[in-house]
Formats: sequence, C-alpha cells, structure tokens
Amino acid sequence: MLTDEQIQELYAYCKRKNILYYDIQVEIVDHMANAIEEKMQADTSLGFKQALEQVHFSFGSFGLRDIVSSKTAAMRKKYGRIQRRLFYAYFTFPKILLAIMLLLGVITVDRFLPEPFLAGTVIFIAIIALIQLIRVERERSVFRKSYQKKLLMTDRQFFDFSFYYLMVILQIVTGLFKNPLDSWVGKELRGDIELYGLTVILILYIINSLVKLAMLQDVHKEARDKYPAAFA
Amino acid sequence: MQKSALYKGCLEPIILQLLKDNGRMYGYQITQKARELTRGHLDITEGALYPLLHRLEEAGILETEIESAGNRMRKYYSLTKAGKKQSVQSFQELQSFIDHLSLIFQPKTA
Repeated sequence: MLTDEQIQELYAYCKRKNILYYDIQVEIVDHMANAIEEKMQADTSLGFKQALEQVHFSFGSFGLRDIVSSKTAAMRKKYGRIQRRLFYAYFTFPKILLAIMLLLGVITVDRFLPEPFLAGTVIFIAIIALIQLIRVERERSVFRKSYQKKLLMTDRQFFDFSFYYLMVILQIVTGLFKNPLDSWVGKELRGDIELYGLTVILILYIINSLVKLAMLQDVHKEARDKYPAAFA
Repeated sequence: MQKSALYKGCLEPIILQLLKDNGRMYGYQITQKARELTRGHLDITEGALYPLLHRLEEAGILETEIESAGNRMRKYYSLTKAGKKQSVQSFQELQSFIDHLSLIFQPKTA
C-alpha cells in the first residue's frame, strides 16, 4: 500500500501533467496507485519513482490528455441535454397559451394607458432579469468560496449560455429594416415591435437563468456529496 | 495486424459484460480482469478505457459511486437499468458479428 506522501505525490504529478480538476485526478491517482503497487509487489527492488515512470509510460503520450478531453466532452453533452430538457419544460402548451394571452393583454392595455406603459413593462421585466443574473452569480460566488480544489463538473464552461447574440440579432434586424418597416407599419408601431422583441428576449433570458440556477444548485450539491475532500 | 486492434471494436461489449458479471468495478480492476480472463491477450489501455467509461456514464448506461479506499478515493462503475438492457443487446450484436465472421473463416461443409 502506498503511503499518504506517495499518494500526494501522484496528485502533484497530475497537476504537472496539466490535470487540474480534482474529479479527474481522483480516478487517475487510484489507477496509477494500483498499477504502482502491483509493480512494486512483483519486483520488491523497484522504488516508487521507478514504478511511477513505468506506469506513466503505459498511459502513452496522449493517454492523459485523451482522458481529460473525453470527460469534458461527456460533461458538455450531459449538461447540454439537462439544460435543454429544463428549458423546454417552460414551453408546454398551457404555458405558451398563458404567455400569448399575457402578451395580448399587455398590447390591449397599452392602447388605453399613457404611452410609457409598454416601456415601463419592459423596464420591469429587465429588472427581474437583472435580479436573476444576481441570483446566479451569488450562487456561484457562495460555492466558489466553499471549495479548495477545482472540479470539472462545476466548471463555468458547462453553464454559460449567452443570450447576448439574440440582442445583437434584434438590433441588426431593426437596424437593417428600419426604413422598410417605417414605411410599412409606421414609425410608432416599429418602435413597439422593437420593444416586444426585447421583451421576448428578456423573458427567454429569465427562463434560461432560472434553468441555470436550478442546475447549478443541483450540481453544487452533487459535488459536495461526491467529493467532500475538495471542500474546506 | 496487432491483436489489440482486433479487440478495439469490441471494447464496449467486453466492459458491459464484465460489469454485468461482477456488479461494480473500478477502472484498474476492469483492465486486470480483462487481462486475467483472456490469459494476458487483452490489454486495455487507460487511453481507451476511461474515454469509453466516461461516454457510457454520460449516456446513462453506467452509474458511478465514489468511496474511500484506504488513503485514496476510488470511483466504481456499475450498470444502470438501461445499461443492463444495453449489455444484453451488445452481447447479441457481438455474437452475430462473430457468427458472420465465422462464415468467412470457417471451411465450408458440403
């Protein structure tokens, strides 16, 4: 059985080989430790360092790199699938119907209320979106303070899906078709269309951040349960 | 041709079968068991084993548990319910593959 110091040396070896995530290190360290122990038992004259060299050779030049990239690809697929499932759950028939009715309600009320009402509605939704953004970042920050070792499963790359590009598309579309839209529907209605577009994007952003928050909370809990040693 | 190249395409059914027979196993144990059962012929490299295990885990065919093993942590793999079905299907596909190959390599009987 390898000593605690030798196990720590294997963790340090992983870091030197650019395997920085603890959840991948755990598996590789155990594998290497088993292989080293077997070699040292078979040849009692063999030292730890020599056995480690032999085991490293058996992994091959790209073995470790392939393990990290396959794990990353698998995680991306897994979280992408969960995110899509949770996101689409907001788009069932009754929910879409309710959203359309609310939108029609806003448009109807907008006609009878003073002009800034629609802009006020958009600002209200934007504030909710901002609150959501703060909630997501708060969850991240609280979790970040609690761990000592980096975990691949909680890496930001799997949970960041920007809605920025939707804003850009809206800007481009309304910018490019500004003159044709003005002559077709009139300046005032074109302004309203822009605001409705912005509202839809903000609502999608809020749904996405609700999904992201739920996922982050689940993954953070799972990380604590699976890898308690990674936390302070 | 190296024999490892022949085994390569059969790695998934081999791993599923080993897990079906042994319940739960950790990575190194899988490589050792495969070597033992094939009398040293099948040497599963780490670079082939772990990417496959990670892919099967993501696909919901395998599930994992992490436990303390002395002074280190150990990750065990086992078949999920879907994985048990997949192992049967995978075995049938492999069997069919072997049967078809034998049509080429076995001498024809009159």
